[in-house]
Amino acid sequence: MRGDISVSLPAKAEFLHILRSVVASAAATMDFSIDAIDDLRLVVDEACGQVLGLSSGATALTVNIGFLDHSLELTVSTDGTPAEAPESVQDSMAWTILSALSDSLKLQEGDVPAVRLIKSNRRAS
Amino acid sequence: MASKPEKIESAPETVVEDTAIAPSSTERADELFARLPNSAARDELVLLFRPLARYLARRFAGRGEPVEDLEQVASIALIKAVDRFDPAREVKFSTYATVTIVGELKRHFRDKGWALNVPRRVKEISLHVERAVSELNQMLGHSPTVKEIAEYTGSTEEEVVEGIEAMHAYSTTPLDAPTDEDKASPLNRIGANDDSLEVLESWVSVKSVLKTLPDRDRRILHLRFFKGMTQTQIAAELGISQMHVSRLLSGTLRKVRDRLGPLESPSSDLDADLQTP
Repeated sequence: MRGDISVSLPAKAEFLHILRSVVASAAATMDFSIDAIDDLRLVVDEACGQVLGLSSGATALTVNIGFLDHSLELTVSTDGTPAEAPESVQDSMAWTILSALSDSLKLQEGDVPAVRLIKSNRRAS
Repeated sequence: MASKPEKIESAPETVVEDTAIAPSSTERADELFARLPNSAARDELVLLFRPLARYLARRFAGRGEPVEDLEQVASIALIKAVDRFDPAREVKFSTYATVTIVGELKRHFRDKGWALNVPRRVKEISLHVERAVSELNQMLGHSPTVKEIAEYTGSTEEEVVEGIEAMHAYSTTPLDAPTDEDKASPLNRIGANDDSLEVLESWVSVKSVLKTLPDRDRRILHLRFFKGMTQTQIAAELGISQMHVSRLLSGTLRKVRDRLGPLESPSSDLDADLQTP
Protein backbone atom coordinates (compact mmCIF):
# COMPACT_ATOMS: atom_id res chain seq x y z
CA MET A 1 0.00 0.00 0.00
CA ARG A 2 1.10 3.63 -0.34
CA GLY A 3 2.72 5.55 2.44
CA ASP A 4 0.88 7.94 4.69
CA ILE A 5 0.62 11.67 4.25
CA SER A 6 1.09 13.87 7.25
CA VAL A 7 0.47 17.60 7.39
CA SER A 8 1.05 19.89 10.33
CA LEU A 9 0.17 23.51 10.49
CA PRO A 10 -0.69 26.27 12.96
CA ALA A 11 -4.01 25.78 14.71
CA LYS A 12 -5.58 28.80 13.09
CA ALA A 13 -8.80 29.05 11.12
CA GLU A 14 -7.11 30.59 8.11
CA PHE A 15 -5.07 27.46 7.49
CA LEU A 16 -7.95 25.05 7.72
CA HIS A 17 -8.59 25.20 4.00
CA ILE A 18 -5.16 23.73 3.35
CA LEU A 19 -6.06 20.65 5.33
CA ARG A 20 -9.35 20.41 3.47
CA SER A 21 -7.54 20.62 0.15
CA VAL A 22 -4.90 18.07 1.06
CA VAL A 23 -7.51 15.60 2.21
CA ALA A 24 -9.65 16.28 -0.86
CA SER A 25 -6.67 15.74 -3.15
CA ALA A 26 -5.71 12.56 -1.37
CA ALA A 27 -9.26 11.28 -1.73
CA ALA A 28 -9.25 12.20 -5.40
CA THR A 29 -6.21 10.01 -5.99
CA MET A 30 -8.21 7.18 -4.44
CA ASP A 31 -10.98 7.74 -6.97
CA PHE A 32 -13.45 8.97 -4.37
CA SER A 33 -16.67 10.40 -5.74
CA ILE A 34 -17.29 14.13 -5.61
CA ASP A 35 -19.93 13.58 -2.97
CA ALA A 36 -17.57 11.62 -0.79
CA ILE A 37 -14.92 14.32 -1.21
CA ASP A 38 -17.41 16.98 -0.18
CA ASP A 39 -18.20 14.93 2.90
CA LEU A 40 -14.51 14.68 3.71
CA ARG A 41 -14.13 18.44 3.57
CA LEU A 42 -16.82 18.82 6.20
CA VAL A 43 -15.30 16.00 8.20
CA VAL A 44 -11.94 17.79 8.28
CA ASP A 45 -13.58 20.94 9.65
CA GLU A 46 -15.49 19.08 12.28
CA ALA A 47 -12.65 16.82 13.31
CA CYS A 48 -10.27 19.77 13.72
CA GLY A 49 -12.84 21.69 15.73
CA GLN A 50 -13.55 18.67 17.87
CA VAL A 51 -9.90 17.92 18.58
CA LEU A 52 -9.11 21.54 19.41
CA GLY A 53 -12.06 21.58 21.76
CA LEU A 54 -10.54 18.67 23.58
CA SER A 55 -7.05 20.19 23.77
CA SER A 56 -5.58 22.84 25.93
CA GLY A 57 -2.64 24.93 24.81
CA ALA A 58 -2.71 23.61 21.26
CA THR A 59 -0.68 25.59 18.72
CA ALA A 60 -0.52 23.06 15.90
CA LEU A 61 -2.89 20.71 14.16
CA THR A 62 -1.70 17.54 12.50
CA VAL A 63 -3.66 15.48 10.05
CA ASN A 64 -2.38 12.09 9.10
CA ILE A 65 -3.89 10.45 6.05
CA GLY A 66 -3.53 6.72 5.74
CA PHE A 67 -4.36 4.96 2.51
CA LEU A 68 -6.28 1.76 3.07
CA ASP A 69 -7.99 -0.44 0.52
CA HIS A 70 -10.85 1.66 -0.84
CA SER A 71 -10.77 4.00 2.13
CA LEU A 72 -8.86 6.76 3.83
CA GLU A 73 -8.00 6.83 7.47
CA LEU A 74 -7.72 10.30 8.95
CA THR A 75 -6.12 10.99 12.28
CA VAL A 76 -6.44 14.54 13.50
CA SER A 77 -4.40 15.53 16.52
CA THR A 78 -2.99 18.60 18.24
CA ASP A 79 0.21 19.32 20.13
CA GLY A 80 -1.77 20.31 23.20
CA THR A 81 -2.53 18.38 26.32
CA PRO A 82 -5.89 16.78 26.84
CA ALA A 83 -8.32 19.26 28.29
CA GLU A 84 -10.91 17.89 30.61
CA ALA A 85 -12.96 15.98 28.09
CA PRO A 86 -16.52 17.21 27.89
CA GLU A 87 -18.86 14.57 29.22
CA SER A 88 -21.05 14.71 26.19
CA VAL A 89 -18.64 14.57 23.27
CA GLN A 90 -20.77 11.92 21.66
CA ASP A 91 -23.79 14.20 21.86
CA SER A 92 -22.10 17.17 20.28
CA MET A 93 -23.15 18.20 16.81
CA ALA A 94 -19.61 17.90 15.57
CA TRP A 95 -19.57 14.30 16.71
CA THR A 96 -22.98 13.63 15.18
CA ILE A 97 -21.76 15.00 11.87
CA LEU A 98 -18.48 13.12 12.04
CA SER A 99 -20.20 9.83 12.71
CA ALA A 100 -22.83 10.43 10.06
CA LEU A 101 -20.28 11.24 7.38
CA SER A 102 -17.61 8.68 8.20
CA ASP A 103 -17.62 4.93 8.37
CA SER A 104 -15.77 4.48 11.60
CA LEU A 105 -14.96 7.03 14.25
CA LYS A 106 -13.23 7.05 17.57
CA LEU A 107 -11.73 9.41 20.05
CA GLN A 108 -8.17 8.36 20.74
CA GLU A 109 -7.24 8.10 24.37
CA GLY A 110 -3.66 9.03 25.04
CA ASP A 111 -1.10 11.75 25.59
CA VAL A 112 -2.35 13.91 22.76
CA PRO A 113 -5.96 14.57 21.92
CA ALA A 114 -6.81 12.89 18.65
CA VAL A 115 -9.75 11.78 16.58
CA ARG A 116 -9.38 8.88 14.19
CA LEU A 117 -11.85 8.07 11.48
CA ILE A 118 -12.22 6.07 8.32
CA LYS A 119 -14.05 7.18 5.21
CA SER A 120 -14.59 4.58 2.58
CA ASN A 121 -15.13 5.08 -1.10
CA ARG A 122 -18.49 3.39 -1.09
CA ARG A 123 -18.79 3.01 -4.80
CA ALA A 124 -15.55 1.08 -5.08
CA SER A 125 -16.31 -1.23 -2.20
CA MET B 1 -25.87 32.51 21.03
CA ALA B 2 -24.93 32.23 17.39
CA SER B 3 -22.26 29.68 16.59
CA LYS B 4 -19.16 30.97 14.88
CA PRO B 5 -18.60 29.82 11.35
CA GLU B 6 -15.03 28.91 12.14
CA LYS B 7 -15.35 27.00 15.33
CA ILE B 8 -11.68 26.24 15.28
CA GLU B 9 -10.80 29.42 17.10
CA SER B 10 -13.49 29.22 19.72
CA ALA B 11 -12.64 28.35 23.25
CA PRO B 12 -13.46 24.76 24.20
CA GLU B 13 -16.42 25.74 26.37
CA THR B 14 -17.91 27.71 23.46
CA VAL B 15 -17.58 24.69 21.25
CA VAL B 16 -19.56 22.58 23.65
CA GLU B 17 -22.18 25.22 24.30
CA ASP B 18 -22.67 25.94 20.61
CA THR B 19 -22.81 22.46 19.31
CA ALA B 20 -24.37 20.25 21.92
CA ILE B 21 -27.46 18.34 21.03
CA ALA B 22 -29.34 17.93 24.26
CA PRO B 23 -28.42 14.42 25.43
CA SER B 24 -32.09 13.76 26.00
CA SER B 25 -32.88 14.52 22.34
CA THR B 26 -32.29 11.01 21.14
CA GLU B 27 -34.72 9.53 23.65
CA ARG B 28 -37.24 12.25 23.07
CA ALA B 29 -36.93 11.70 19.33
CA ASP B 30 -37.72 8.02 19.79
CA GLU B 31 -40.89 8.88 21.72
CA LEU B 32 -41.93 11.39 19.11
CA PHE B 33 -41.34 9.09 16.17
CA ALA B 34 -43.55 6.53 17.87
CA ARG B 35 -46.34 9.10 17.88
CA LEU B 36 -46.11 10.04 14.19
CA PRO B 37 -47.98 10.93 12.02
CA ASN B 38 -49.30 13.13 14.85
CA SER B 39 -48.59 16.63 13.63
CA ALA B 40 -47.64 18.02 17.02
CA ALA B 41 -45.04 15.30 17.35
CA ARG B 42 -43.76 16.10 13.87
CA ASP B 43 -43.46 19.79 14.72
CA GLU B 44 -41.60 19.04 17.90
CA LEU B 45 -39.18 16.80 16.07
CA VAL B 46 -38.41 19.53 13.59
CA LEU B 47 -37.93 21.99 16.43
CA LEU B 48 -35.77 19.58 18.37
CA PHE B 49 -33.29 19.15 15.53
CA ARG B 50 -33.43 22.64 14.11
CA PRO B 51 -30.11 23.55 15.81
CA LEU B 52 -28.49 20.70 13.88
CA ALA B 53 -29.92 22.02 10.60
CA ARG B 54 -28.72 25.54 11.36
CA TYR B 55 -25.33 24.33 12.39
CA LEU B 56 -24.89 22.36 9.19
CA ALA B 57 -26.12 25.28 7.10
CA ARG B 58 -23.44 27.46 8.62
CA ARG B 59 -20.76 24.95 7.74
CA PHE B 60 -21.56 25.83 4.14
CA ALA B 61 -21.49 29.58 4.71
CA GLY B 62 -18.85 31.66 2.98
CA ARG B 63 -19.27 29.93 -0.35
CA GLY B 64 -21.30 32.70 -1.86
CA GLU B 65 -24.81 31.80 -0.80
CA PRO B 66 -26.67 33.79 1.85
CA VAL B 67 -26.75 31.99 5.18
CA GLU B 68 -30.52 32.52 5.39
CA ASP B 69 -30.99 30.59 2.14
CA LEU B 70 -28.77 27.82 3.39
CA GLU B 71 -30.69 27.63 6.64
CA GLN B 72 -33.90 27.38 4.70
CA VAL B 73 -32.54 24.58 2.54
CA ALA B 74 -31.37 22.81 5.67
CA SER B 75 -34.74 23.26 7.39
CA ILE B 76 -36.63 21.84 4.45
CA ALA B 77 -34.21 18.93 4.33
CA LEU B 78 -34.79 18.37 8.04
CA ILE B 79 -38.55 18.18 7.51
CA LYS B 80 -37.97 15.71 4.68
CA ALA B 81 -35.75 13.67 6.97
CA VAL B 82 -38.43 13.62 9.68
CA ASP B 83 -41.04 12.47 7.18
CA ARG B 84 -38.87 9.81 5.61
CA PHE B 85 -37.12 8.42 8.65
CA ASP B 86 -37.89 4.83 9.44
CA PRO B 87 -37.37 4.25 13.18
CA ALA B 88 -37.23 0.51 12.54
CA ARG B 89 -33.89 0.96 10.83
CA GLU B 90 -30.76 0.58 12.88
CA VAL B 91 -29.65 4.17 12.54
CA LYS B 92 -30.03 7.17 14.83
CA PHE B 93 -32.23 9.94 13.54
CA SER B 94 -29.49 12.54 14.05
CA THR B 95 -27.26 10.53 11.73
CA TYR B 96 -29.97 10.12 9.13
CA ALA B 97 -30.87 13.82 9.35
CA THR B 98 -27.25 14.91 9.01
CA VAL B 99 -26.77 12.89 5.85
CA THR B 100 -30.04 14.16 4.39
CA ILE B 101 -29.33 17.81 5.22
CA VAL B 102 -25.75 17.73 3.98
CA GLY B 103 -26.95 16.08 0.78
CA GLU B 104 -29.51 18.79 0.16
CA LEU B 105 -26.99 21.56 0.90
CA LYS B 106 -24.54 20.06 -1.56
CA ARG B 107 -27.24 19.80 -4.17
CA HIS B 108 -28.23 23.41 -3.54
CA PHE B 109 -24.72 24.56 -4.42
CA ARG B 110 -24.59 22.36 -7.44
CA ASP B 111 -27.93 23.68 -8.71
CA LYS B 112 -27.26 27.31 -8.00
CA GLY B 113 -23.79 28.22 -9.07
CA TRP B 114 -21.32 29.64 -6.61
CA ALA B 115 -19.00 32.45 -5.68
CA LEU B 116 -16.30 33.39 -8.11
CA ASN B 117 -13.23 35.29 -7.21
CA VAL B 118 -10.52 33.07 -8.52
CA PRO B 119 -8.03 33.34 -11.35
CA ARG B 120 -9.68 33.17 -14.72
CA ARG B 121 -8.04 29.94 -15.84
CA VAL B 122 -9.23 28.10 -12.77
CA LYS B 123 -12.58 29.79 -13.17
CA GLU B 124 -12.93 28.36 -16.65
CA ILE B 125 -11.84 24.91 -15.63
CA SER B 126 -14.26 24.90 -12.76
CA LEU B 127 -17.10 25.96 -15.04
CA HIS B 128 -16.35 22.91 -17.16
CA VAL B 129 -16.02 20.74 -14.11
CA GLU B 130 -19.28 21.89 -12.65
CA ARG B 131 -21.14 21.29 -15.85
CA ALA B 132 -19.46 17.90 -16.22
CA VAL B 133 -20.43 16.94 -12.67
CA SER B 134 -24.11 17.51 -13.27
CA GLU B 135 -24.06 15.91 -16.70
CA LEU B 136 -22.11 12.89 -15.50
CA ASN B 137 -24.36 12.60 -12.49
CA GLN B 138 -27.26 12.04 -14.85
CA MET B 139 -25.38 9.90 -17.35
CA LEU B 140 -23.76 7.58 -14.84
CA GLY B 141 -26.42 7.65 -12.17
CA HIS B 142 -23.86 8.30 -9.48
CA SER B 143 -21.58 11.06 -8.31
CA PRO B 144 -18.62 11.03 -10.72
CA THR B 145 -15.01 10.57 -9.67
CA VAL B 146 -12.23 13.00 -10.49
CA LYS B 147 -10.89 10.55 -13.05
CA GLU B 148 -14.24 10.33 -14.78
CA ILE B 149 -14.56 14.11 -14.86
CA ALA B 150 -11.03 14.44 -16.26
CA GLU B 151 -11.80 12.01 -19.07
CA TYR B 152 -15.10 13.71 -19.78
CA THR B 153 -13.69 17.23 -19.92
CA GLY B 154 -10.34 16.35 -21.46
CA SER B 155 -8.48 17.91 -18.54
CA THR B 156 -5.88 16.41 -16.27
CA GLU B 157 -6.95 15.10 -12.89
CA GLU B 158 -4.99 17.84 -11.21
CA GLU B 159 -6.84 20.50 -13.14
CA VAL B 160 -10.10 18.93 -12.12
CA VAL B 161 -9.05 19.02 -8.48
CA GLU B 162 -8.15 22.68 -8.93
CA GLY B 163 -11.53 23.27 -10.48
CA ILE B 164 -13.20 21.60 -7.53
CA GLU B 165 -11.22 23.84 -5.22
CA ALA B 166 -12.48 26.85 -7.12
CA MET B 167 -16.04 25.58 -6.81
CA HIS B 168 -15.52 25.70 -3.09
CA ALA B 169 -13.82 29.07 -3.25
CA TYR B 170 -14.26 30.79 0.03
CA SER B 171 -15.01 34.27 -1.19
CA THR B 172 -17.81 36.71 -1.60
CA THR B 173 -19.44 36.90 -4.97
CA PRO B 174 -19.27 40.23 -6.78
CA LEU B 175 -22.54 39.46 -8.55
CA ASP B 176 -24.25 39.30 -5.21
CA ALA B 177 -23.01 42.68 -4.11
CA PRO B 178 -25.52 45.51 -4.19
CA THR B 179 -24.73 48.11 -6.82
CA ASP B 180 -24.15 51.72 -5.89
CA GLU B 181 -27.26 53.09 -7.50
CA ASP B 182 -29.79 50.86 -5.80
CA LYS B 183 -30.08 48.21 -3.18
CA ALA B 184 -30.75 45.26 -5.46
CA SER B 185 -27.86 43.22 -6.80
CA PRO B 186 -27.37 42.57 -10.51
CA LEU B 187 -27.80 38.89 -9.83
CA ASN B 188 -31.28 39.46 -8.44
CA ARG B 189 -32.25 41.34 -11.52
CA ILE B 190 -30.91 38.73 -13.88
CA GLY B 191 -32.65 36.05 -11.89
CA ALA B 192 -35.94 37.87 -12.16
CA ASN B 193 -35.64 38.26 -15.90
CA ASP B 194 -34.31 34.85 -16.78
CA ASP B 195 -33.72 31.98 -14.46
CA SER B 196 -31.78 29.84 -16.89
CA LEU B 197 -28.41 28.89 -15.54
CA GLU B 198 -26.83 29.22 -18.97
CA VAL B 199 -27.48 32.92 -18.96
CA LEU B 200 -26.18 33.23 -15.45
CA GLU B 201 -22.94 31.53 -16.44
CA SER B 202 -22.54 33.89 -19.37
CA TRP B 203 -23.02 36.82 -17.06
CA VAL B 204 -20.30 35.59 -14.80
CA SER B 205 -17.91 36.09 -17.70
CA VAL B 206 -19.56 39.29 -18.84
CA LYS B 207 -19.20 40.75 -15.38
CA SER B 208 -15.42 40.52 -15.48
CA VAL B 209 -15.35 42.22 -18.87
CA LEU B 210 -17.71 44.95 -17.68
CA LYS B 211 -15.20 45.85 -15.01
CA THR B 212 -12.69 46.83 -17.66
CA LEU B 213 -15.02 49.27 -19.42
CA PRO B 214 -14.83 53.03 -19.02
CA ASP B 215 -17.32 54.42 -16.48
CA ARG B 216 -19.61 56.05 -19.01
CA ASP B 217 -19.90 52.97 -21.19
CA ARG B 218 -20.70 50.87 -18.18
CA ARG B 219 -23.25 53.39 -17.01
CA ILE B 220 -25.01 53.34 -20.35
CA LEU B 221 -25.13 49.56 -20.34
CA HIS B 222 -26.50 49.67 -16.84
CA LEU B 223 -29.23 52.16 -17.71
CA ARG B 224 -30.17 50.29 -20.85
CA PHE B 225 -30.18 46.68 -19.67
CA PHE B 226 -30.53 46.84 -15.91
CA LYS B 227 -32.77 49.88 -15.55
CA GLY B 228 -34.56 49.08 -18.79
CA MET B 229 -34.39 52.68 -20.02
CA THR B 230 -34.75 53.47 -23.70
CA GLN B 231 -31.94 55.05 -25.65
CA THR B 232 -33.89 58.30 -25.73
CA GLN B 233 -34.28 58.31 -21.96
CA ILE B 234 -30.58 57.60 -21.53
CA ALA B 235 -29.75 60.38 -23.93
CA ALA B 236 -31.82 62.79 -21.85
CA GLU B 237 -30.24 61.60 -18.66
CA LEU B 238 -26.69 62.06 -19.94
CA GLY B 239 -27.39 65.19 -21.97
CA ILE B 240 -26.27 63.69 -25.27
CA SER B 241 -28.10 62.76 -28.43
CA GLN B 242 -29.93 59.46 -28.92
CA MET B 243 -27.70 58.70 -31.92
CA HIS B 244 -24.67 59.16 -29.74
CA VAL B 245 -26.08 56.75 -27.17
CA SER B 246 -26.78 54.25 -29.91
CA ARG B 247 -23.21 54.46 -31.23
CA LEU B 248 -21.72 54.16 -27.76
CA LEU B 249 -23.91 51.19 -26.97
CA SER B 250 -23.07 49.22 -30.06
CA GLY B 251 -19.38 50.04 -29.65
CA THR B 252 -19.45 48.87 -26.05
CA LEU B 253 -21.31 45.69 -26.88
CA ARG B 254 -18.81 44.90 -29.59
CA LYS B 255 -15.99 45.43 -27.11
CA VAL B 256 -17.64 43.17 -24.57
CA ARG B 257 -18.20 40.47 -27.17
CA ASP B 258 -14.63 40.66 -28.44
CA ARG B 259 -13.19 40.33 -24.99
CA LEU B 260 -15.46 37.44 -24.17
CA GLY B 261 -13.89 35.56 -27.03
CA PRO B 262 -15.48 32.30 -28.18
CA LEU B 263 -17.63 32.13 -25.06
CA GLU B 264 -21.26 32.44 -25.96
CA SER B 265 -22.58 35.80 -24.86
CA PRO B 266 -26.20 36.78 -24.54
CA SER B 267 -25.54 38.78 -27.68
CA SER B 268 -28.60 37.88 -29.69
CA ASP B 269 -30.85 39.25 -26.94
CA LEU B 270 -28.80 42.37 -26.64
CA ASP B 271 -28.83 42.91 -30.37
CA ALA B 272 -32.57 42.55 -30.53
CA ASP B 273 -32.82 44.95 -27.64
CA LEU B 274 -30.61 47.41 -29.39
CA GLN B 275 -32.71 47.41 -32.53
CA THR B 276 -35.81 48.42 -30.62
CA PRO B 277 -34.95 51.47 -28.60
